Amino acid sequence: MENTHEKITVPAGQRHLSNSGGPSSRVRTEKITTSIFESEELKTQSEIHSLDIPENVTDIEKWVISLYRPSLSIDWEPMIAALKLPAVRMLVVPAEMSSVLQSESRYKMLRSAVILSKCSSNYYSPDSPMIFTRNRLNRKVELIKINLNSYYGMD
Amino acid sequence: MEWTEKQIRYIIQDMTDENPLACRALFTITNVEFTTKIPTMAVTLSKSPVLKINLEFCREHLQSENDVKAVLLHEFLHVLLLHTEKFKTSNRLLNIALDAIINSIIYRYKGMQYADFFVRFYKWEEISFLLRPKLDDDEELEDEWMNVHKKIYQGKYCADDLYELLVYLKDKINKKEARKITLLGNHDEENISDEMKVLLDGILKKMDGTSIWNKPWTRGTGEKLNTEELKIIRYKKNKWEQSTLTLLKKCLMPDKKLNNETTTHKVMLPILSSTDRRSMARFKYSGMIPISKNESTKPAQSQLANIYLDVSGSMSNEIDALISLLYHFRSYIKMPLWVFSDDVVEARFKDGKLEYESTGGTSIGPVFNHLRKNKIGKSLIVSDGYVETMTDLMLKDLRRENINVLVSANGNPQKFMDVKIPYLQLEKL
Repeated sequence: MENTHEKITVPAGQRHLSNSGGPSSRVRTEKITTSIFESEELKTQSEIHSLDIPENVTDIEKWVISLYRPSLSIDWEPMIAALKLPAVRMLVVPAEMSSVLQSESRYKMLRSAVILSKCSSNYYSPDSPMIFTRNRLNRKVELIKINLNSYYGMD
Repeated sequence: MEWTEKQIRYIIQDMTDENPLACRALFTITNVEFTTKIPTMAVTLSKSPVLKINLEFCREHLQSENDVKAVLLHEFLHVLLLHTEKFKTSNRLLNIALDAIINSIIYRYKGMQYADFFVRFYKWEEISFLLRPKLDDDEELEDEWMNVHKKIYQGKYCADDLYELLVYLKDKINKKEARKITLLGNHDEENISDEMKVLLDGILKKMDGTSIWNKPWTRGTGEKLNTEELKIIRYKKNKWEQSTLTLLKKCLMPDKKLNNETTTHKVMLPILSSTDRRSMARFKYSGMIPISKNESTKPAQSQLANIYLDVSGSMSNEIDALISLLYHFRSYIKMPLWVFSDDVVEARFKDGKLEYESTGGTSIGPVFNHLRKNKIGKSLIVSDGYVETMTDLMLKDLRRENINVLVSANGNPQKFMDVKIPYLQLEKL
């Protein structure tokens, strides 16, 4: 039997023997990504928020308050009412860098800071407590509310 | 970093919201106390949980919010893995092994985002290097040490392998060097209150143990565990079905009333047949019609089994599983199916359910009387075995080898063994 078989050696780096699969030229590898959040039709409400807290700031809450006035304390309840925060739960998705404009006025920065403090990694809830940390506030996010009817109509 | 108490509290709140390793359950009920009595941070669970934080340590060593979270997670893991309760002696070697395992879990779970603190806090030199991951530009140490380090940070030494790691470190470690290392958190002996034990059990059930234990699916009720359990149940059900089918086939008897089945006979004829493909090749080769295999079918009597199902009170826990098993094989069962408690009565499947009337007692005597009276050759009795003692008189005129018994998983086959009736017991699901 030894003499009747040709000894086949597989060259290093070659995974298949001849006729054991499609040639590499016919194989295509593509990374396919998509996101329903990119569809403008789906969004019934959308807001983009971003902040850039200076590196030397350690007391984030104090810095946020200083956006309003140089005072050590603030009565948050009337302030939140005045800021007219979104009243419904919204999804939080990372915003594309190009679409993010730095909040120009102190009022807008303060509003963004309060909203971001109420945003967890996935959603914003008006009832969430305000958590003033750098990780939370130093984000560029888009808050969106999805029209579920449009979502099911996408097909 | 000039941390304030308020800012640290916000970071704890943020981490609670983030909920890494299901730590929320503990941190939401933990009181935070800032003190200089402890060198770093510690969680005590003796009564109500208290997270003690030395603000000076934070200000000196923690540069970012992720650093604070890394130390908090380190403390949480000490509590979760019951280190302070399990190990009653405070031994430097043990503490280093515990911290090395915890830091490696944090590294695997959160990457350099959190482990960056360990890299800054511990020098890349013998012993302390075990408490931090290796950076690309860190130089290689002794081969044997590097091997242990690799095993720890790749997760080969998990929380379960502490003993193995300790045995290795015992011979290798220089105790004087070990004393110089500052360890994070509480390494003192502590008794955990019963309420806190319940809380920790709850956390363990909620969390996914991947990258913490060697077999994470054995802890908690994560998805992997559920999948594993379902697979086991499916496998056991398959075994139930296979063993029941084997037993049922032993009890099959031709039913004179039903000619639903067909039997196939092979006949050799000089006719080309699609069932014998070689005959076509032979025909093409020789030009003569060869003798080929042909099949002929004819109606045959159905083979069905007579079943006697025990529906006594003791079977109540298992009856549903057994009925579903019998329903699966209903095409093999002669209807009506017989059920017995104090007496043998008819039962029928209706809309997937078995309908019968039962008195609730247990007696197998009426089954043998029924077999004798109806001259049933072979039968299958499904029972848990909690029946009266069988006597030779009860089995008079019956061939014991023709009576098969399927004993339920929680049943006891002893009574059938005593009278030499063949039985098969189902495995527990």
